[in-house]
Formats: sequence, C-alpha cells, structure tokens
Amino acid sequence: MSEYNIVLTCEAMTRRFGTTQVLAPLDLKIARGQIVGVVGSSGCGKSTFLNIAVGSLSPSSGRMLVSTLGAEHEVDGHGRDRGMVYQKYSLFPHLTALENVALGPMLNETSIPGRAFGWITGSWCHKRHEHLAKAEALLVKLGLCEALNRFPSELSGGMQQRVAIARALIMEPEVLLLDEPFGALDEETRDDARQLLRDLYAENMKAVRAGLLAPYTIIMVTHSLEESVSVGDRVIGFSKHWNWRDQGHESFPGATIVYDKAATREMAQAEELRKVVFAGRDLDPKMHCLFWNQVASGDVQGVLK
Amino acid sequence: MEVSVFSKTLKLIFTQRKPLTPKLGMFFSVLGLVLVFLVYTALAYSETNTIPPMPRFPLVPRFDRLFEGLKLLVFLDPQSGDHILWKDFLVSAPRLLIAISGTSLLCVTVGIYMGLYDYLRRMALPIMEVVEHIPANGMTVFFLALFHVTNPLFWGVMAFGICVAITKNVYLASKSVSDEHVFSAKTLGASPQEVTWYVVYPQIKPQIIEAVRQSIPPAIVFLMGTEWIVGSDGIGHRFMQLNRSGRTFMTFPYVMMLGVVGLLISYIFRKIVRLTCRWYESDTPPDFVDRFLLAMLNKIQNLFHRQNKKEANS
Repeated sequence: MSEYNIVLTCEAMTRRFGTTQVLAPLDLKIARGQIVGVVGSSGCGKSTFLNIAVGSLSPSSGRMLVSTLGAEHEVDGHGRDRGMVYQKYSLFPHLTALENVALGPMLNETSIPGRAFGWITGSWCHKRHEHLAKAEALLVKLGLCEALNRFPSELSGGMQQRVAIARALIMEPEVLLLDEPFGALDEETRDDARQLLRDLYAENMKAVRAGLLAPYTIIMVTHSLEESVSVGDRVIGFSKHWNWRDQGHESFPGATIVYDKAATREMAQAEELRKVVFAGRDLDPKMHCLFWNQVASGDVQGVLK
Repeated sequence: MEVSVFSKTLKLIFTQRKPLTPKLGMFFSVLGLVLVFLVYTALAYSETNTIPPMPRFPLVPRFDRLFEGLKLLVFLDPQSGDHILWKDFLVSAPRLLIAISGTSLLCVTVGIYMGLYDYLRRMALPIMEVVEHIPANGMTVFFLALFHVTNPLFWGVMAFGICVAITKNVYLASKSVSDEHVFSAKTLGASPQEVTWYVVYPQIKPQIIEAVRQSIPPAIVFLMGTEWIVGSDGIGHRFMQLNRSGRTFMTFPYVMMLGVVGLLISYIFRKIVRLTCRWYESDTPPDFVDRFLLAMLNKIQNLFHRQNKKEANS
C-alpha cells in the first residue's frame, strides 16, 4: 500500500458520546485522487466520521492523519487542508458568489493588519484583485458565469452547491468532504452535480496519466446507494450490525466499516450494498472489505490502476 | 355582483395569515390613523376635558391651542425668549447619541463574543438576568452620587437601561449563526478573530442595527426621566416645567414632535440596513429612496473600485 499516495489515514479511531459508543476502532486509508462514496443507515456514524475528518470532533481514541505536501500530520481541529461542503451548502449569505469563493484566498494569504493598512501601500488592492480573478475563473469553469455577483439567496440549490464546491476547491484541499451533496437537489440538478464530480474525477485521471498528482480527493457521504456506486471509484459502507461479539467485545463497540470495494458503476453493486449495509445481519466486516485486495490484484480501474 | 365583491373582501380580511391586497392594506393603515385622530378630537372637544385643579385649562388641547403651542415650541417663546425645541434638542440629543453609541459599541462586542464563546455566555448571563430586573431610573441616585449632575450621570442611567436589551439581542443573533458557517470559515483558514468579524458580524449586522434602533425609545424614556428628576436642562426638564405650569397645549405638540422624530430615526435605520446589508431582504423590491441611495452608493463604490484597479494594475 505504501506505493500509493495515501492522503487520509485512520488508525484504530473510535468515537463515543457519553456512554454511547458510536464508532468502533476504524482503520482506513484513502489514496490521493479517489472519490469515495460513504453510505450507511441513519445513526451509523457516517456524519461522525465526516466531522472528525473536518476537525469539528476529535476521536475518543486512535487518530486520523492527513498528508499535506507529503508530510503526515494528525487531524486536530479545522484546517485549510480539508475542505467541507455541507448539505445546506453554508454559503455566507452576506457575500456574493464571487466573494464567497474569494474569501478563502483572502483569509489564507492576507492578515487583518494587512487588509486594514494595505490600502495605503496598494498591496491589498493587488491581492484582492488577484483573489477575485482566481475565484471568477473557478466559477466560470464550474458554469456559474451568470451567478458571479448574485447573493446566495438569489441562487438555485444546484448553483449554491456548485459555489460551495468552488469555495472549498479554491483552497486546493488535500481532501474535500461532501455531506449529502445531492440531498436537497431535484432530479435534474442532481444529474448536473453528479456530472460535476465525474468531471473532477476525469481531471484526476488526466493528471495521473500525465504523471502528476491527482488534484481532487473527495469523500462523499450519501444516502443514495446508486450515487455512491455511480459517481466515485470506491464505496465504503458503515453499519451497526456486525459480529462484534465474535471479535471479543463484551458490549457494543459502535458501528464499523462492513463494506469497502471499488465502485463498479453498475446497479448490481447497489443491490449488493443494500444486502450488506442495510440487511441488519451481524456480518464479518472482513468479508466485504476487499478494496486493497482488489487494488493488489489489479481489479481496480481509475486512479489506482 | 356588489354583494359578492363585499363578501369576498370580508372573507379576505377575516382569513388568518392571508395577505391583503395593496389597496386594502393602505386602507387599514390610514384607518388606524383616522381612528386615533377621531379619538383625540372627541377627547379634546368633550365637556369634561379639564385639569381638575385648574378648570380653565383643558387637559387635551383643542386644535387651535395645539398649533399655538407648536408655534411657541418651534419659533421663539415670548415668555422665555428661547427657541425651546432647538435649545432642548441641543442639550438632550448629544447625551442620547453618546450614551447609545458608547453602549452599543460595548454591548455589540460582548453580545457577539457571548454567542461564540461559552465561558463568556455563562459569565455574563446571570449578571444580565439581575441587571435586567433593576429599573434604570432607580439607579439615578447611585449615578448621582458618583457623577453629580453632569453628563456622565445621564449616560450612566441610559447605558444601564439599554445595555441588557442590546447585548441579549446581539447574543441571540450571534448564537443563531450556524456552526456550519463557523466551521466552513475555519476550513478556509480563518482565525477566531476573522470568524468573528468577517463571518459572524456581517451576517448579524441587520439584527445589530435593529437592536440599536429598538434601544432608542427606552433610552429616551430613561433620559427624560433622569432630566425630569435631577436635570436643570434638556427635554425631560422642559416636560417637568410644562407639567408644573399646566401648559398641556405645549406638551402635546412636543410629544407629537418626539413621535415624528422617532419615526424618522426608525426610517433612517431601515435605510441603513437596506444600504449596508443589500443581501438582507433582497426579495423585497426597493422603493424610490432605496434606488436613489443605492445609485449614489454604487457610484462611490465604482469610483473606489476604479481607483483600486488602477493601483492593482500599476
């Protein structure tokens, strides 16, 4: 596995809330350039996992590591190396689409005194101009040229989602986390959003073929099995139903990953997922966690081929 | 046909949560004012309209006396030789302005931070609960001992009276900013100060402006109360004098003028929200004043923008 560029690693990571154990010790590695769909029933710890990844929660034990510029560091709070797009997009309502996207570079590349006194020297104007141009280019790339100067309340759900993705992508995060990205969209807009993710994946493939680093690594929590198998290149399923008693636990240790395979983009896999993740049977997690075996045997298409 | 229109209108009026047509809405707005006018007229021209110890003076002045009082207020009062309204305004308005700006600055900052930091909320809430239940005019004696009859006395009473309301409103607004906005800003590399002043503050600016606007009427009440009790000048002191001399024909127009000024202040505050928070209520169409002000603002911004572009290019 070491030959792959691993961006996110979980090492025996658990999480509990009070006496309720939510996540059993998780071990997981996600390689650069992957688009991973995470599925599971409500309350199985998907969102907890995502919140730990973004830094809103800390693991109760174990750790999560993120590789930034080749150096691994433990996730401890929020950081600009992990972008997040929430279900309701969370665009700042007081900023236009352009300003929303330009906010990241502004915060990242300038300081409060720089902004306050940079007017005098003109350095701030120069930077601001640069940030707005960069944001505009990204929004145009995502097909939002008409929405540049509109406030979020004046945008449709699909447009808001693309602006939110642009706002996260402009920071060039190591991992982009999407929480139910299609949850609030109608069917037509959903197709556009799926296509957007496929386009990003195509860019990854292009970069890998050219011998470059894949620019986008995405973890996408979703309720839709069809989306998880059709958009990304890997599917992970969380479940509370697994054979924890056989593994030597005396009490319920929390949900774990019961499914981890390469996405086939076929509906048969969605059916398989339904049987494994939503069956409610106490399965052995190892039975369907075969992603890295598939990679080793060359059965995986995409950035890890 | 007419019966059907009438019954339809009645149904529209008495259906809950059903917006009226613009014409009907205007009718009811005017109706409210007309009712007040009628009640006033009835009171002013009734036979029992007198001040008990002074039967010569009507309690509610008739319209001729009302205009006479208004003339005395706005123009020169022959008795005192003053422009009463202007003189009182010059004394009370700066007191009000200083107290409200100072208190707002402090309370808005505290309120925003209370919504973001739990330790501050836990520290401040019990104090606020206590202060909220103390009538500000009851603190006059305390401030009198502290400052004697100087401006800080008036500032202190007003600040004491409005600080909790402003802080609480701003705190609730700050608390209502979703965690997701705060977390998103942090993933963009925002420091805690940047989250506060670039994400939370601009989002709750309309509520802040509204909280300050709402604090003005109670502040005026506290100012007038204090001026009435201990002051030697200002609006409250004038009211005390007019009250003692039974000159209600001057008190009434004075009160009405204060109402008009209050209305004007509210209007200005609404326009400030409209101009500085264009994203807020963006679905409400702008009226002609908004359009004029926005055009002016856009011109200034464009000038500024052009200057920036020039500097950036150079």
